[in-house]
Amino acid sequence: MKVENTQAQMRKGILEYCILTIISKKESYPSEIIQELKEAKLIVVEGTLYPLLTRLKNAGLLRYNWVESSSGPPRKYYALTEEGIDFLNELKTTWTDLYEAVQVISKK
Amino acid sequence: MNKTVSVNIAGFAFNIEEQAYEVLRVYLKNIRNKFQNEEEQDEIMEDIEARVAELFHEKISAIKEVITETDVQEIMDIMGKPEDYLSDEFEDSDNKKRDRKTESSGTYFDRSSKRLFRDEDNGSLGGVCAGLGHYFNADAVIFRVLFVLLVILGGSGILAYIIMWIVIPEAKTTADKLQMKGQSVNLDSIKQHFNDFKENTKTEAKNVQSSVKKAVNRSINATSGFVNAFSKVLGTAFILGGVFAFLILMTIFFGNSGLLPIVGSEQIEDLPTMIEILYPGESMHNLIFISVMVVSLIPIISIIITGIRLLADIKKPYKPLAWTGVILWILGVGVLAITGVELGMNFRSQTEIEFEVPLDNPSTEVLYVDVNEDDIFSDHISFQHVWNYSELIKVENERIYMGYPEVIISPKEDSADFEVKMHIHSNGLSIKDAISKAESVEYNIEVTEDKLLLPPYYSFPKSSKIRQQQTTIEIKVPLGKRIEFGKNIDRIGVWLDEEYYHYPESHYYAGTVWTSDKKGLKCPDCGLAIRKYSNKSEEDENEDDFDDEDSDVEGEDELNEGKNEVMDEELENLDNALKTIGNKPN
Repeated sequence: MKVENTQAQMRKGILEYCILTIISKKESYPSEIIQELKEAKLIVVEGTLYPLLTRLKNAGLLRYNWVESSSGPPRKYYALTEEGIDFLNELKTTWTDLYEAVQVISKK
Repeated sequence: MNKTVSVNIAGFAFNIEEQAYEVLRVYLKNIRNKFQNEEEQDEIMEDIEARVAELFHEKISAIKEVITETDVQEIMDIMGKPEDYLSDEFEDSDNKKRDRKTESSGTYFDRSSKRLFRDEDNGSLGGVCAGLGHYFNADAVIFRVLFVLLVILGGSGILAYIIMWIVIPEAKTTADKLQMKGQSVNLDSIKQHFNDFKENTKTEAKNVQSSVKKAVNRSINATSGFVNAFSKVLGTAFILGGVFAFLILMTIFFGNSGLLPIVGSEQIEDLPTMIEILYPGESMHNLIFISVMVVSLIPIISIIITGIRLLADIKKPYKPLAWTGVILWILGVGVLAITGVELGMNFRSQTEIEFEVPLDNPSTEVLYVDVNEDDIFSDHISFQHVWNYSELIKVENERIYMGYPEVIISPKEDSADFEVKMHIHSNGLSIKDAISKAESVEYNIEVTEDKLLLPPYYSFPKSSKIRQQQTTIEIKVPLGKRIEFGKNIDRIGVWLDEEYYHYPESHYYAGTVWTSDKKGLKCPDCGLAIRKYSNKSEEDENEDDFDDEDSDVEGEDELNEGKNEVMDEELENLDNALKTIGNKPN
């Protein structure tokens, strides 16, 4: 049992939660999302994000619009779908519950 | 100064250095492989390429138009290692590491996932052996040795090699090369391979790598000790064997140079002379000589070089040299094949001319037969020496001397006179050619009263060439009359009584006297041979001993004698037969 395993497993669910949260605040394109995630030290490289976004989009949680860019190809701006909003809300509840559970247990 | 290529990424054109392009191409391919079985593959790749294009866009400016390798490197750092592109599950890097390890070790030595390719990168010549080595998880040297042995033992190895060269595809792509080594074609294996060849792709996952590499290195270390020792022994053996073969060849080619006393049989004339007196015409002789040297020496030199390489542990391929050798060798074989066919044509027809040798006194009771002193070959042979045809060929004064005439003695029933005939055999391009060659053979028998003096050699002009000329003297001895051999008779081939000749203690005819009999010639005083023949009655002995047709004789014996005796006799015959077989001269 390695600590990294557990850490990664913890991070796994939280990453999706964070991505959805970032997008819920405003429509974002991947570089912006990465910027925020990097600041939060959740991921360090961009590659991680693209498959995740595609998968969330294919799961019906995200949609995207093409927006022309002055510095290169058009960008995909991602936004939450109705389903995505529900999904995020559920995650939020779960996260709050978990956070509280951890607090309660560690303070005992 | 670097070459650039133009690439289209997400609909944008970029000028990129060739080296940088290669790095990027492999990187993107690795990522794509990561998603090989996923539906999102194309979409993800589009996104990634779009991002790469965006990043490239930031890198170029009015004063910098070309994407360099450093740029690509930076972008790869931003985008992350291929492993960071998660596939099915968001696994932690450690889980992945473990999975990868089992996966790698599971497939690394799994032959079922292997395909046979030629490994030109590690091969000496075409990479057939290196490819076989990968396929069977063995050192390529083992296959090289096998091929060399096959080449030496009849040359079938060359054909096999050429066929395999043509049939087995070369491992060109990274995927081919990995399949060749039995690694399943996945991102990790490609990456590992990629890492080996392009050390500048520093973004490769070093941690993940190291565990795989460690496993591989461990197995390599375990076998390398043995392989090293083996290759040293093999190298030494190759060099010694090669040098030995070289000396033997030189002895055969250039006569008894005294290089190697142990080689034994010595040829009097050297290779150029042999070619001159064998091959028709003259224009091709130098070419044939060079071809013979090339065809025989190249394999030997290859063996010596291989030995040196094994000893010195040189891994660098010597392709240009090897290629030159192979091409020269094939050319040489070609020349020998073509001239060989021509030579064969010159042996196509054969003839034998026959004429009678007049005797001074054909009705004599005893014909004395001896052989002249040998002034041509006496320097080269002795009586203790078992010689053969190829040795007794000598060129002197523009004539070819062949030192092995034969004499056949047989009984004669219809006349009381001795009869001596000379048969000269020769091959040739046509019957006419063969006859003229046979007629050009000179063999001067000296006849004085009841004495026959045979020369120990026959000769013909050099221009006749060697066409299997053979001189045979046939002497027919009337019944009851005798023939006596002089002391030199064993210098030439005598065909009289094979059983006697082959009998271990009666090798020589010199000094013996033979009496003609209906069933052959017999020699009552030849002692040893006769005494040992059997314990049969003397009458049987007279009837049987010198008869070739044993079965007839045995038929009679069975009628005359008891069963036990027949059994004894059979045993005796078997015993003799065994001795005969064991003592056949060359």
